[in-house]
Amino acid sequence: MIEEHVLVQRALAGDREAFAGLVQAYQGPVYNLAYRMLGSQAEAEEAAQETFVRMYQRLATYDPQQKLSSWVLAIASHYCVDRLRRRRIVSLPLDEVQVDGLTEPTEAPEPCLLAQEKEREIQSLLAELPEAYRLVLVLRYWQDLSYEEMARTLGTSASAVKAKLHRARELMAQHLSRRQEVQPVHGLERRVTRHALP
Amino acid sequence: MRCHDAHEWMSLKLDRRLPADLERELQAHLANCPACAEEWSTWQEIANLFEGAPLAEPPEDLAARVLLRLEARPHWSALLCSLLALLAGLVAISALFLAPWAQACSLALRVILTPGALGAISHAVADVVRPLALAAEAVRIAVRAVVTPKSALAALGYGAVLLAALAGWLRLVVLSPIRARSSAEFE
Repeated sequence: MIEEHVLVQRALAGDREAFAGLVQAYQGPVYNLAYRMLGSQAEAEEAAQETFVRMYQRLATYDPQQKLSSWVLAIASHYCVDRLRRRRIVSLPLDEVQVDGLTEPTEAPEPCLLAQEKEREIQSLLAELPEAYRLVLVLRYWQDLSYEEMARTLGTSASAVKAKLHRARELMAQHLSRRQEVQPVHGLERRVTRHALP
Repeated sequence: MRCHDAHEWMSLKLDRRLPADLERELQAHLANCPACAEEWSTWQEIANLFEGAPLAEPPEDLAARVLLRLEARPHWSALLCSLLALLAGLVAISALFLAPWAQACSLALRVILTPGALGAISHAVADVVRPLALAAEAVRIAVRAVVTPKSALAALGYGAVLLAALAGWLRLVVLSPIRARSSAEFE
């Protein structure tokens, strides 16, 4: 497999096939980040395309000392946050934000419905958070980044990332508790008896 | 331990960042604080939900679509070349416009100073009209080249402008003195 820095050099020299190799290497992380941030597959695809176009335009400014994954995810993160802010400006009500399921309809109906329900629950929990908190959770759970890697991606400090994760969890727990007071959430049965740490 | 500290440690615990001694302290706090224990239970449920979530599969043709978008973008160097060519064309057109006026002025002076020079007037009018027609043609080509999206065609248009400018210039600067000299010799 050709090394990443070789692909970057070739892409800089105008080799579109080499750039396609970079896109293939990072399309999974970028698409997943966009999907969890924006909540719909159509928007995630558009965001992923835009991220890679911006990556190509800015490739000359990429510092090889930096991890390419952090750099690409930073571009994707900024784009998604901007897009969410624009969406807020046009005042799209939360209920109208489309939440796509990831489960293929070919699966058995019952597990499929349960998975769809869980998926909807995840996306609605994320959608209730401000962009900055949503982003740290997505980077933590779907990109599996450490505090330091998240800090590099977001251009902030590890302690700021730690504080945001803490606050994001508090906010989500508040939303969930409020919602469970109104109606119990399917697939998220509360385990009030388990108090001890695992 | 305050509940706020417990929450901070709970977050660290979920990220596998809590040292063992603090974990023991946290466990002791949770055993005695029902509110924090309730909170911890909720946090764990959310973490389990997120950690068990499937990864989304990107479309298979994502890379191909990105490449298509890159192909459709105007290239900056081509745009810069087009702008430079446009600038050169404008300079050439300006030269074309200025030259006949200078020529016309000098001819008008000659007409004033030379009595009964009808022939000279007709020459002067012809000298002004011909480069103006050339200049108008050059402008037409330049405008057509600018509004055409293909940079290759634009470059062709600018080349034509430059050729027209050169032809006009040669006509004015080189041919006019020769003609003037030959008519003087004839007289």
